[in-house]
Parts: sequence; structure tokens; C-alpha cells
Amino acid sequence: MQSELDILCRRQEALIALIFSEQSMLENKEEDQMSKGLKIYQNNLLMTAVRALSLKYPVIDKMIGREALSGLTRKLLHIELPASGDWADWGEQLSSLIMTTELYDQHPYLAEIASFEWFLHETARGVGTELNVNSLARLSEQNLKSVFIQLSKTLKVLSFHYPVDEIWMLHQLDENQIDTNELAVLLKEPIELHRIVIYQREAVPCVERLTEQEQAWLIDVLAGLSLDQLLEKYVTFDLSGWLSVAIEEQWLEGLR
Amino acid sequence: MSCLNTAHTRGETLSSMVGVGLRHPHYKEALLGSSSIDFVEVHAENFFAEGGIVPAILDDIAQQYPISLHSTSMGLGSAVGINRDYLQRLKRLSQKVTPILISDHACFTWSNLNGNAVHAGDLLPLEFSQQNLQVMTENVDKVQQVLGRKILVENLSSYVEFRFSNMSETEFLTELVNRTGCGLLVDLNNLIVNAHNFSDESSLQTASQWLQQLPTGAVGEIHLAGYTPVAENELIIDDHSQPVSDECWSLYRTALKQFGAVTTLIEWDNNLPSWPVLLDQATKARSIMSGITIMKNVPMSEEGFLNAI
Repeated sequence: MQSELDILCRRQEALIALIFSEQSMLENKEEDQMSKGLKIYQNNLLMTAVRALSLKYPVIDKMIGREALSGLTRKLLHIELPASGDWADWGEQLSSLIMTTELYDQHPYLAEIASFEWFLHETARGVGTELNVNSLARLSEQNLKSVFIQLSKTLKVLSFHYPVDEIWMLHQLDENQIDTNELAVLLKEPIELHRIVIYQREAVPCVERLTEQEQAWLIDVLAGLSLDQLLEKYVTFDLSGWLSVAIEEQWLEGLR
Repeated sequence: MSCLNTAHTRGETLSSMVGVGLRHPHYKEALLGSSSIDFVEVHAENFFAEGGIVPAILDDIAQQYPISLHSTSMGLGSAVGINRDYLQRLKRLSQKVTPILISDHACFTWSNLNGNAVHAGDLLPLEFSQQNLQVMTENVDKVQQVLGRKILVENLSSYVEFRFSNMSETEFLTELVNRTGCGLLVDLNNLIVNAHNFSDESSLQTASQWLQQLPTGAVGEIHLAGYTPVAENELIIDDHSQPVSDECWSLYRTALKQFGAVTTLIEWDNNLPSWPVLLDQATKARSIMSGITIMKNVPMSEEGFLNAI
């Protein structure tokens, strides 16, 4: 036998299920008070979710328009339920959702742009790094097998087929200022990988391009290779030059 | 621990403070110049990020204004309880800004959908029953213990009514206050919206009667707002997109006469006005509050002039 608490739980679940239901109340012409009320909750949910996505994905919003974003939002609400109480945490799966839609067939770059925007959003909210200056003294140790480079937790090393950083920058301009020829070039069939690092510097997200070697180095650092292993693998790597960039750009937490 | 009628800020007792809801487009102006308001209310969830520029913005705001933390996702009436991570995030924020008030709504938000945890992303209405009162009591108790302070619970505007309710909203809220020691945040616009949507009587009369059923000492804050007018037979949506309505100002006078001076907030979330227009609304609220306080010392026949404020 169900307890009264269970029954209350079920009734609250039932209301949520009606609000999240894909069957729109908008089609119901003979509306009673309950239907009108439910429609308001459904609209509120959609509008709030669309707004939450548009804040995280401003370039996607600009490229596909609000109507298409609303359509994606409806689908995303069923794939990724909001669950933390903070809309800022919701929407990570937009990129993978786009890959399952017709939109992706016509505009394959959208999934990568969405992925890039999500990383920017996450980086913007992450806790940045303070360099442990004293830890740099470990560089002078004889045995570098037990010395490891500690990178900022906001730093992410990524590869994209499309130049998503340039596409994103172009869309920071007003719509009438965007050079459509330049955009067309950026969106054409990709021929090479674009390697980038996203990180937080002075509390704001930053993006830098990486060479193939720089990217491989960072991936190995993140994988936990010791300084000794790194220097053995990257014989010609300019460690001191890289360290000064890493400190300047706030990639580095220190050495451990 | 009480946060009501005891705190003093800038020489004002908390009960006579007037503030505005501070939203993103107004940050710059709010931080640039001096303004006449006593405090600002921010939505707690907008400041949950622990890194980036958000904490610095909040620090700047806190240096200039006392802050009231108004959360919109706590779901105090959720039968499944309140998400632990959410509560910890709110606790960290509260410890950081030491707000003058913390409030949320008499609603539910946490539940399950197809076997998965879900947050409704909206303020969903409660059935006013003994069982939901018990849930609400336990949740409010827990929140007050975790935060180490009293909270205010706001009455909701809702768009559906439940046949399972077997007590009135005011009975429900009064009993909640008695059981938990929480305070009430009375949103006058919500009362008017509900009265328009669900009562056959005059909305002002219905809302005034609602106020009369509350225990006087429990009201720790009043929210004032406006709404977008709708066609007849349509439900009004509590969109906070307009100046405080004439009805709401009128109900405010009624509320102050009943409760005395109460911390008051202008809530304007959508279709935002310019910062000076928002401050004008707060100035009007302050004038009315001052007038009502004066009225306590004048004969009733002179009351009429106050309605002209």
C-alpha cells in the first residue's frame, strides 16, 4: 500500500510529466482552466530553456535563428533533463543532438561550433588558477622522474575539423558587418585539423591555436607524464619558452 | 536566529528598507553611481558559478548594497526533498555574501520523470494538504538548519488548482510559520494575479481578504510588481514585465496598514525599464510606506490623503 508521501510524489511527478509532455496543449481548442494553466507552464518551460541555450550558444543562435533553436530545445529537454536547479548547467548535449538532425546534414560545422561554445561556457564559470611560484624550484631537482607539471583545471586541449574559433569571432560582429565571403571560406569542407587550447585568464575564457607538437605536449602533460618522460619524448621542445607562455597565460598551477 | 526586524543597515531598520531586484542589464548603472535604494535582491542561481567574473561582480554589488538572496529553484514543497548539491551551493553563496534576507517560494521543483531526477525549471504549485504541509515543514526545517538562519517563504502565482487541496493557502502558510519559525514574503502581485485568474470577486477584495488571514508578525518582506494585461477569460501570467500596477499599489497600502512597515522590493524581471525608472518605483514605495507610518499618528479621517500618494 502506498504511503501518503508516495501518493504526493506520484501526483507531483504527474504534473511534471504533463508539462514536459511532447504532445502540445496548443492543439487543444476547447480549453478548460486546467489546459490553459498547463499550456502556460509548458510555454514557460520552453521559453526559459530557449533563453538558457541562447545565452550559452550565442553563435549557434545567430546562425540558425530562434525558431530552429526552439525546435532543438524541445528535443533537448527530453534527452537531457534539467536536474541541478541551475539552468547554466543544462545544455551540454546540444552538440550531439545536432548531429542527429537534418540540420547536421546541411550544416555539419554546427555540431563543432556548439561543442566549442559549451567549452567556452564551462571555462567561463570554472575556478581559475593561482600559480604556486615556490613549486617552480622543483625544476632544479636532479631527478625529474618525480616532477610533474600541474595545469589549470580550466584548461582544455581540443581539435576541430572546422576553424570554430574564427567562425565564433566573426559572429561577434553585427550581422550586417559579417563578411559572407569570409564566412563561406571558413565553413567549406575541412581539410586540416584545427588544434586549440581553451583556458581561463584573468577570470575570462581565452582561446589559443596550438601547433601539432604543442598539442601533443599538453595532452601528455594532462595524461600525467613526468617531466623526465616529457623531455625524453620531446627532445627538441623549448621547455623554458613554453613555461614562460604557460605562466603568462595562466595555464600553469605549478609543479608537483 | 532571526533576520527580521533586528538588522540595521545604513541607519535603517530592516523592516523599513526599500530595494529593487537587480538584473544583469542594470549592473553597470547600479555599481556606478549612488542610488536611493536600501538594498538589492539578486537571484541566487545567477551567482552559483564559483569561478570566472561572476564572483567578482557579486563582490562589487555586495560592497555597494546590502543583498537579499532570492532563490527560485529550491522547491521547498518538493515531495522528493531538496537536492543536496543545490543546497550546498546556496549555502556557500550565503556564507560569501551574508545576505540580509534569504527567500524562496512555496512551490515544488524537484521530482522524477521516467525514473530520472528532474528539476522543473519553474515554480510549480502545491496542493494545500496536510501531507504537503508536512513535506514543506521538513524541507524548510532542513534548509534553515543547513543555512543556519531563518528564511522567508513566498506565496506563489499559479495557473492550475488542485482538487486535492483541503486547506486554504493562508492556513497552509500560517501553519508552516508556526511549525518552522520561517517568515513570509508576501508577493502582492501574485495575490492579484491569482485573484484575477481564479476568483469571481474583485481581485483587490479577494487579495485583501487573503492578507487579513495572515499572522501579522510573520511577514518579513513584500514584493511589488506588474503584469502584462490579457484579454477577458485569459489567464494572467506573472511576468514581472510592467510597472507596479495600480491595483498592486492599492493593495500595498492595505498591507502596510495591516502589517506596519515591511521591507519592500520592486520586482521587475522582463522588459526591463531604465535604471532610473526602476528607482522611481522604489521611491514611490518608500513614500507610501512613510505615509502609512505617519498615519498611525493621525486621525482616521485624514487617511484619504495617503491614497493620493
